[in-house]
Amino acid sequence: MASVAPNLSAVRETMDVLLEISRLLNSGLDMESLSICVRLCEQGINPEALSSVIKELRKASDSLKDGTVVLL
Amino acid sequence: TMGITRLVSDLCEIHLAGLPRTGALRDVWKRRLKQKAYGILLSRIFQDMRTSKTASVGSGVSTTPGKNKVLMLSFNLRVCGREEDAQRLEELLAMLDGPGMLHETGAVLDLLVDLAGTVPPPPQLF
Repeated sequence: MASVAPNLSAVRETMDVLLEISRLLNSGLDMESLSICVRLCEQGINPEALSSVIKELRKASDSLKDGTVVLL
Repeated sequence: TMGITRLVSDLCEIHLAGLPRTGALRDVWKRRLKQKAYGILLSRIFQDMRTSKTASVGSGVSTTPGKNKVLMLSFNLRVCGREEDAQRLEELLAMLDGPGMLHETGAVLDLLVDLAGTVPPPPQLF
């Protein structure tokens, strides 16, 4: 039996849906970050671990913007 | 397909928006971000390995599907008076049931739920 591979338009549609869900939940992912996260999940990365990574990266990014130094 | 190292690197790159495009400072910060990211990911892998060694089948681990978690958040939105947003959220979830969709939507929904409310809502336009 042939496996059902997601076609390009279905993938794009799914990404648009996930992006809108992200916006409604105030998850803070733009399309670029979301695409990377989807691919990391496809590679088997645990979503809870990934969310921890994103929170830490945001903290560091905020400290960069504020000019404050965070020891990583 | 891109490997995990490239994807993590790209994710770190996005979070260096305040720095010049090139230079030593950017390299140092990128290295620090990558160390932090891999530290979290690796600690999770070892934690999972320990759990799989000690846990019996069906014990303790949260198995609520990502979709159900989003539905719980949708209920919260209704309680908070955001009826339209809750309705839209449920419509969007239903769209994810179509054939040929991405295989990892459950994991991505888990991620979005974990990150829910981590940024302020967009300003209302009148």
